[in-house]
Amino acid sequence: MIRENILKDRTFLIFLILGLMVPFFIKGYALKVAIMIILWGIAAYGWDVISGHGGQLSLGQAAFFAIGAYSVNIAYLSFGIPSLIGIIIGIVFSAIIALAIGLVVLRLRGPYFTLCTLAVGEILRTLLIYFKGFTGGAVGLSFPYQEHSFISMQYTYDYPYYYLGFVMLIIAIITSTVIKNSSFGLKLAAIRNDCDAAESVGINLMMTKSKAFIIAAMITSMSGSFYAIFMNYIDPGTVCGFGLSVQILLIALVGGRRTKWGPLLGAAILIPITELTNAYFGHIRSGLPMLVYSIILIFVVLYASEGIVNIFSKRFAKPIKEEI
Amino acid sequence: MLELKNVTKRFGGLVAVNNVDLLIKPGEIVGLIGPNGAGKTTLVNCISGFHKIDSGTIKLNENDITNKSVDFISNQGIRRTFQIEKSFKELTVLENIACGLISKNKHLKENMDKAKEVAELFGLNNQNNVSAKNLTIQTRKRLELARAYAIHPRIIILDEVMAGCTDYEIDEVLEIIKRMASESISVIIIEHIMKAIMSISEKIVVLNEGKKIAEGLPSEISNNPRVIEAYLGEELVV
Repeated sequence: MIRENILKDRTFLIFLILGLMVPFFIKGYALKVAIMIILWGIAAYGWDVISGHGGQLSLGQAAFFAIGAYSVNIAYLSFGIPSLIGIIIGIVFSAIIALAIGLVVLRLRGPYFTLCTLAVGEILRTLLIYFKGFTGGAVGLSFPYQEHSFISMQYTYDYPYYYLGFVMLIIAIITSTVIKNSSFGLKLAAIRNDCDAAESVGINLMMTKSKAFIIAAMITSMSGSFYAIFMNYIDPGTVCGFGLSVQILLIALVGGRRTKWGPLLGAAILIPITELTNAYFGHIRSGLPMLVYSIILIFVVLYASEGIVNIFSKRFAKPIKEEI
Repeated sequence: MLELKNVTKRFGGLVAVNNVDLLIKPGEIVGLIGPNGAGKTTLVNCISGFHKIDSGTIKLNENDITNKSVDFISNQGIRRTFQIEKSFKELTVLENIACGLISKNKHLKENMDKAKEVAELFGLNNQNNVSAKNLTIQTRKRLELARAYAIHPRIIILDEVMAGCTDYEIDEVLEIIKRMASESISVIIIEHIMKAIMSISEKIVVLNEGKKIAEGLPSEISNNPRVIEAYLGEELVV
């Protein structure tokens, strides 16, 4: 664990400048892919807080993604609340739900916690289908089309979405880095390594894990809200499915957990691969894109099990003197 | 001062700790011995909060800590090591020690500075940035000891901290324990190395089948017929 100050980090500042310039250089489909990379990157940073830093493998992040997505849509469609405020409502609501769920599921350890989070996602999906008056049921919700509306965050061009997502991404990266370099991050690292030993040095497991779970939920909710704003249409199967939780997890795993760039790199690799395999293999046979995608994943797991970002960091890192 | 009164812990039909009384004064070194399965680790698990006791009371300086949570008891000043060491493997030596301090001080930088001082005290300072997973088991046990000591607790419980150590390493650990006691830290040691435990303990408590069968000075214990029969055997020479 190397202590760092993100605001003094040159790589981060270069990323910030280059990131702001992206819409000047790419347009159309490429910009849409860039927005998707940002969207899934944010979700992966959220997962990384509880499952990467905290070591508690969550398979239920889709629940918070859905809360974010539905909060924006329901706030606007039912109450006329602007989407930007809808995002904040989603974040607050996710934090409350995460606190309530966390009180129960965070008492469990290892696979029991994972299974419970999986159940949470599935329960919410069922509830979203059941309460169709609010949620539109299995059919889902869509924004009525309006031209250039700041209130509902609808635009006919993509760069406002890009910048909205980029701001969220920066918030997610800074949150992740601050956690890693704080006492809170060290507590999470202790819990990840050994719960009993962490408790024996006076760390309150429930309090620390709850905080991480809530922060993770808030970031994931933010990405869900962004998804709803960008896609204009949401349904329970898409925003609250088990597949979505797995996708978030895979992005963080492939990129590299507990790293500043890992989740973003994972999204930057996997999202274009998904798009390319769909474009080139989708018309040949159904299921073929998934097969190609899976083969690529197997290779990543075999040759970069600690995440692709670690291949770079090992190659370019200054050697740390380890005297044994 | 740690005071145990009629502490009993049952696992179903098995009474692992049976009506045990114990009094430990500040700065006292107490050896806890007994055959395998006697209930030594269960007793320290009860003291440190890992097991909830079925009856009895545990008090630390007149404060009731019976069946309180592990982190609460730890923050009251009872720290421990584990029979199978539990260092934080991914973390460096300094970070491991700093973990022992974060419940008391939120400032990471201050904790890391303090951790450096503690590492030096425990002879770990030339391995400050080494991950625990790259240390030998004995060094990891010493690291665990350093982590437990970092906040300068009232009581430290050492569960077989000398197992697998060479004579030289045992002497080093004994020196550390003596230093702790001189700083008014009470030390409870579970150990099977009789030479070490008999030489350092001011009081020995012997458990057998969950019951306390003897308590006293090391010289008294080594001549106690019940202890000889249950644990030490006829041939013990201290």
